[in-house]
Amino acid sequence: MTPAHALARCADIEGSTRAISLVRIGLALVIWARFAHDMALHSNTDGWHVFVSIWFFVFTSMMLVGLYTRLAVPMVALTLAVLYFVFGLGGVRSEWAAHHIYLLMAVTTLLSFTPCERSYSVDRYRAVLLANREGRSPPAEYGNLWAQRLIIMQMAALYFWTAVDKSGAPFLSGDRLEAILTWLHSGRPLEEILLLPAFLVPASVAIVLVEYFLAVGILVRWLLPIAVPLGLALHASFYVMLPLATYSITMIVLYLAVLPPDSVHRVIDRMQGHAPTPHRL
Amino acid sequence: MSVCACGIIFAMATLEPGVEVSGRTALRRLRRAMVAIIGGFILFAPALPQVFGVQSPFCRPWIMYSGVAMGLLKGEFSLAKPDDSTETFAPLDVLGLERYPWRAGSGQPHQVDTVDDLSRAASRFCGTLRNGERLSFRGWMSTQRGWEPIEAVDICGAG
Repeated sequence: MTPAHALARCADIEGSTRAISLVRIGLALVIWARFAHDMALHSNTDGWHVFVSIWFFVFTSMMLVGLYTRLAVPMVALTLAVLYFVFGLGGVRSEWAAHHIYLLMAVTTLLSFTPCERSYSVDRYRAVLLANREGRSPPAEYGNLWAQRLIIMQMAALYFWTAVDKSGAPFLSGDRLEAILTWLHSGRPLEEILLLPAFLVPASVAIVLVEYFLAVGILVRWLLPIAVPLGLALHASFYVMLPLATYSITMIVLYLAVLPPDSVHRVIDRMQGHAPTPHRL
Repeated sequence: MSVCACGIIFAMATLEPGVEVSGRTALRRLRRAMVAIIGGFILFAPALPQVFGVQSPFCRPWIMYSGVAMGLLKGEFSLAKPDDSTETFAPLDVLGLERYPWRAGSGQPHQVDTVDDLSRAASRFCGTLRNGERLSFRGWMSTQRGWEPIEAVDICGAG
């Protein structure tokens, strides 16, 4: 496939919007999990903070339920950008400059360009009611998914560059993983097992190899049956073993975007007991 | 006349044969341009800080967890007593901790980056020693380069 063909396939791809709408709902909940306490009115310290809090909860709620979604999602992305660049990198709240915040900001920004309001949203419900009143077919849960491909590209880039960072003797020898697990698990029940050399070296090498594989695997359809379970297992193990804030759960939610959209549509149809429908309703 | 000619030449150069100019074509081109630009940024921007060392707030390096768990000790503290007996202690025992605090960042009391930091980190333990008792350490400290050997004798006397 030439680069021009690959670009055309990415940019012109169309498919079911159910998966990306579930991503919209999942990301809204992850954003609440990370920021709701800081944004709650009981955490406010001044007038500006009250304004930001109200703005945050209004637009994240709209994003969650899919109300005026094409406005809400960009506004949430803008809010996250302000929190990351102004407050995080600006030093006011340095913990808001972390990787998991950047990831949330980047994927929410990309989500702004997706038709994530066409499924599982108040906007869709209103569109269906309107179509019924006018005696026409409900709108298709279908749209151009070029931005969804960019979300997958962001995940692939993350895997690749974090694997590059770990591709050196300090990590591959098991030293860095041992130091991290010493920091987190010393004095805890699993200390003896996790700090065994027989576990540390293979685990370190495996993490790097898996991340390099996932950088390619999530982009290639025929590798997905291996890449998706492997990726989910990787992030699930990170989630239970390392305090990574919302990083792991964000990546798990984003795997909904990795799955072939029309396959997700058919599986949901079957789960709900409907006969499989063409992706265009 | 020349403007028209330029316009025709431009149109012939940019249009695929047989495709009429339409909103859909323009939209398709815009989408492809955005995918190329944004996708290129996503894929290659981390190279700036990670490969070329150029720091920018807009080019995020993916180096998660590379700066945590620094200054930890692996090894053994030895307490030599006046009666020539020796007692050994784990690092957490001497640091007075049940487990390491999860707070990331440098400059924490338990962190050891140099031999001199050992006496600071062990200061509370040093305060419990009797006359003639000497505390030593032999082991490794965690750095970005992995475990590096560190050894010190009479830590409490040096403090």
